[in-house]
Amino acid sequence: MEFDLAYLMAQGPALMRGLWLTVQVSAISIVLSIVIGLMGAAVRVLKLPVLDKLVIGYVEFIRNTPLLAQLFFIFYGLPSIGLKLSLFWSGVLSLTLWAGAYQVENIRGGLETVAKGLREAAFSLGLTPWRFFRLIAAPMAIRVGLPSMLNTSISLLKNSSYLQAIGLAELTYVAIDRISMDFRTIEMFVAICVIYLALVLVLSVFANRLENRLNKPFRV
Amino acid sequence: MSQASPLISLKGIGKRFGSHAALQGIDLDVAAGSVVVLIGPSGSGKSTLIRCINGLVRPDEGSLTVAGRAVDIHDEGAWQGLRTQIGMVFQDYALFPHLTILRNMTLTPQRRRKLPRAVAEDEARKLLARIGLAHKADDYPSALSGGQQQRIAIVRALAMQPMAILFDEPTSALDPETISGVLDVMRDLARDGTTMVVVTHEMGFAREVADRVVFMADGRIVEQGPPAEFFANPRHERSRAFLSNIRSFGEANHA
Ligand SMILES: Nc1ncnc2c1ncn2[C@@H]1O[C@H](COP(=O)(O)OP(=O)(O)OP(=O)(O)O)[C@@H](O)[C@H]1O
Ligand SMILES: [Mg+2]
Repeated sequence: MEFDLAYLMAQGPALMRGLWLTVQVSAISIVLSIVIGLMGAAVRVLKLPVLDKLVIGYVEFIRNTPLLAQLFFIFYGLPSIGLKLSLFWSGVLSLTLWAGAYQVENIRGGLETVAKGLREAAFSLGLTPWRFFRLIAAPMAIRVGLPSMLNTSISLLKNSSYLQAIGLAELTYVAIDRISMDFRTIEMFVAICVIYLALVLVLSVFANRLENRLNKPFRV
Repeated sequence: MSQASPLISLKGIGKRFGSHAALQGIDLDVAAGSVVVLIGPSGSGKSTLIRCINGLVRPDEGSLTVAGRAVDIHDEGAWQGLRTQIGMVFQDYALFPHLTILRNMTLTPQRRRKLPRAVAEDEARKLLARIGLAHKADDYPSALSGGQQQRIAIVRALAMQPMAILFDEPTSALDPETISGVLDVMRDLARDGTTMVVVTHEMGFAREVADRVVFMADGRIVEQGPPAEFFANPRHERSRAFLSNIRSFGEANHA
């Protein structure tokens, strides 16, 4: 079987729809996982009683169980306790919880390097703890943690392909679906690999820009 | 001496860290417009004491009155309100490194004094001009020398229009050649009648600028008085030992 470009072109619209879902699910999950990361890291660094233990448990649980099991738990398990989410939001929830655990750790390191002295200075100027976190600590922690946050985000993007297992018609689902009908394996896998690669590149470029901006104050 | 009630008044302040008593029975009055300099050996509780004045350290016991109003030492809200009125300058300047000098100075005035951005920036630029650093407004802290950063930390505190400013060894981290610039700014503030409580090892500054010198040892105030008196005739054994130590250290430095 030679590489059939015409076939691939004909599948363009279907692939595009899959791509769009992949982008949506990943973008929302990346943003939400960073929110979880910021909150979880703050809880850890401030050593808030009880919450602290909960965050540790959450991070350990996520990091030591397979993503696929987490995904099935959310999609098949939650409805049995009365929580029924759509395919799309099941996917978002599982990717968010999965990446959130890693973001907690990525951001925690940065947060710990925000010197105690800056906190005291902020408090002495009358900033509330929340404003200190939002205006000083979070931006500084994100700067330090950005490379590992990018890694986690790239993994999230790639792992969004797991969502085909629950039937969400994202990029990988579309490819597998077509292959099972048309047996054009090579064309489809080349296509989706190129697309994932392009998405990762876009994400990296975006992160590099952000890193440059956040690092500007520290270049003498 | 005026009989007006002091701006800041501490009575019976005590603080323990575990089993260690860092402060015991501290009574201290700071009159409005006066400069009080705290001196004493390392570990004597100077930092702990001035941190008790704005709640960075919560005293365990005693009472604090600021501008005639008692501060509830167990209420974080009360401390937060108080902190907008009492500025603090640290040994390591603690400018926010990811913000420009101007943002460093307008951040809290905009939020806590509710100033519109343009007004806050205008005030900040005037303060910068006053210390000769107007041209640094848009730079980041990393582009400035330690002495410049510390002068900015001082006017950053000033931008909140506090009724008093606390200084914890403001020149201890500086290169010798930049110390005098910082002391000049502080002298300037003192001349303008800013109420200041200063922990320092700069005895020249204490002698010249302080209205009162407070000598601490082992978490207690051992003696206090006008600098001329204190330096010429320290009454206490501990004070004498401390001063002679400093003098021989100073002479060794000049030798
Ligand atoms: N957060 C803390 N936890 C435990 N002990 C502390 C703490 N802060 C201060 N201490 C102790 O309290 C005592 C007084 O410390 P403080 O920092 O007030 O002294 P200082 O006079 O400022 O000393 P220095 O000149 O070295 O700055 C010291 O014995 C110190 O070890
Ligand atoms: Mg100290």
